Amino acid sequence: MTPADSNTLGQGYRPGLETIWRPRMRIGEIAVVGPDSAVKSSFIRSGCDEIVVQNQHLIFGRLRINSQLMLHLYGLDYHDEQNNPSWDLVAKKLLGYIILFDWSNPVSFAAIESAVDALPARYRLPVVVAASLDNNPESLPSVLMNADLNVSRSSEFTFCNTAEPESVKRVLATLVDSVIAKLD
Amino acid sequence: MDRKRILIAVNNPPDIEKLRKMLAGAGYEVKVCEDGTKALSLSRDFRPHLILSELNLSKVDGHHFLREIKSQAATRMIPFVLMSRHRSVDERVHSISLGADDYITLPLDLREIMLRFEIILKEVETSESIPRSESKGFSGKLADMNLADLLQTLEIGGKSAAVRLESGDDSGVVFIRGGQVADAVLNELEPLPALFRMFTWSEGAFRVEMREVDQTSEFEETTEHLIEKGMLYRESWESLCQDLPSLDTAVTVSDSVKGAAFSPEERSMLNLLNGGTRMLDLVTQANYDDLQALQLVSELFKKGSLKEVARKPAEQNGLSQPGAESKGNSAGTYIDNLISSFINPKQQRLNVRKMERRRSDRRGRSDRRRNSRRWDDFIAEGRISLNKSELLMIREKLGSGKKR
Repeated sequence: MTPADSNTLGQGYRPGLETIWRPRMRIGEIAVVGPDSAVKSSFIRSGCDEIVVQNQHLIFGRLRINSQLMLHLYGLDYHDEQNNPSWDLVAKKLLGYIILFDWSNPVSFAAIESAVDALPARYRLPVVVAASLDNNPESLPSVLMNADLNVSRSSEFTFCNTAEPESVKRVLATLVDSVIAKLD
Repeated sequence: MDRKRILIAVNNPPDIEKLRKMLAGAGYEVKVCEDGTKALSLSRDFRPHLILSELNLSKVDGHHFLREIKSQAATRMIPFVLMSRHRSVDERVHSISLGADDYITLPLDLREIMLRFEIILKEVETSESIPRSESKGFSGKLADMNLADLLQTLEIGGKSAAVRLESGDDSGVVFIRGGQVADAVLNELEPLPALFRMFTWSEGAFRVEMREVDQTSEFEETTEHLIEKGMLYRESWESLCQDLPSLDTAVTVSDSVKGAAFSPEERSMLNLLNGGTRMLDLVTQANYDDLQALQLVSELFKKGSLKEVARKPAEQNGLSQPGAESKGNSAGTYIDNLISSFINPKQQRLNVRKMERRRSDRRGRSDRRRNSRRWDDFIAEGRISLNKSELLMIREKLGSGKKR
């Protein structure tokens, strides 16, 4: 017997699934790519209401927008892209990518430099490159940074403090702006 | 380079000697044993790269042998192939759900079996060459990621996987093919009730094995719809639970049932009570969907027809004990005696009907399933999954901060 058959019960039965149906939840998804797990974790924790799962492959958090809309953030390692199943799991239906690296650590940027070039070309989705200032609050003007990184015209560059929810939400807003612009 | 070792455990199939010679000729080191006990011992001492076992082994049967192999850290990675004369899909699914890597029906086709072995061993070789951190699969706690989250994640990527779930003493498997739920196996339940029951599990563990799934689809609906229904089902379940004591509580018939009127459904639930029966067992034993059964339990509880009892030691872990009557509870005995005279044969008939219906449904569903829509059909590369008004809602929620 399936829930759809549930009204075959006796008089004590209350309205079931068929009478309390609700609109389905809509979900927007964003991948947060970067070499530093702690930075990604901090970013997603600051940007989400809840962390659903965190393991060696994936950190997954949710931000509820309203009763029918939710934003999912997936933290992934770029160098795992070819073999990491969690990358494949989320790669199809994304709004866009945030490439996150530690501004104070040259190694961190070197690790995602190829992603900055490859992701916009490969997936044709909006990309925001975000430099974390958690360990070094002094920043350079982003115009210089843009030039240095040779960020393509389809990618945005910004700084952020992953420990501050407002800063993280600003990065997310930048990406959503890019998505909306692409729709227009 | 070491020769690959193959352990064959058989009862009495006639072609094994031919197979052994063929495998040896192909460069494998082969050992054949004739009962499950020896096979278990050899699986540790011989350290095979692959095990082929007949289902009907003597002493320890094939399923038991398989469970032993898959439960031990030292042997669980050994590919295990079961062979049997059973051709039923149920048997095949059950074997795979226990962890078998392949299932071969007798009589043996030697060329086919050689090819299958080569493929399995090649897969193992490939997976061993991948660093552990990149191995295909992940695991965790259901409290962190429940079935709905897992299905959604797999659906997004259009992945094929076996999702194994464990909660309390129960364990089940959900098979996903191309992101779509293909089958759900849990005890003797049909696929949909099995899936819905697993949606209600909030404690326990999961393991996702990324692999090909051959199961014929048991579901007409897309994963997305099943998730929606499952979440609603879980919500309804939790809502009903709020009005009840813990489902681990043992209950029996209260004295107030004397002279009270009950619907046939309520009577059938009361009949399942036997002294002190755990409410969860009452729900899972009933001939109704779990949610309906829980609804009935809730109604009976509100009417005062059920009362809590201290659980007996013998009933701590399992289902109610048939025949273990409630001493000193005249109302419970009265109801039990009144109804048990006809309900048990009825239950048996219903179980048989369930199995027949399931077989016939499978045939019909597999045809209808071909016409159902998949995510892949409407997610083109680069296509955005939300519309503009939804994106603007997100933008509003995120605030108006300007880029630095």
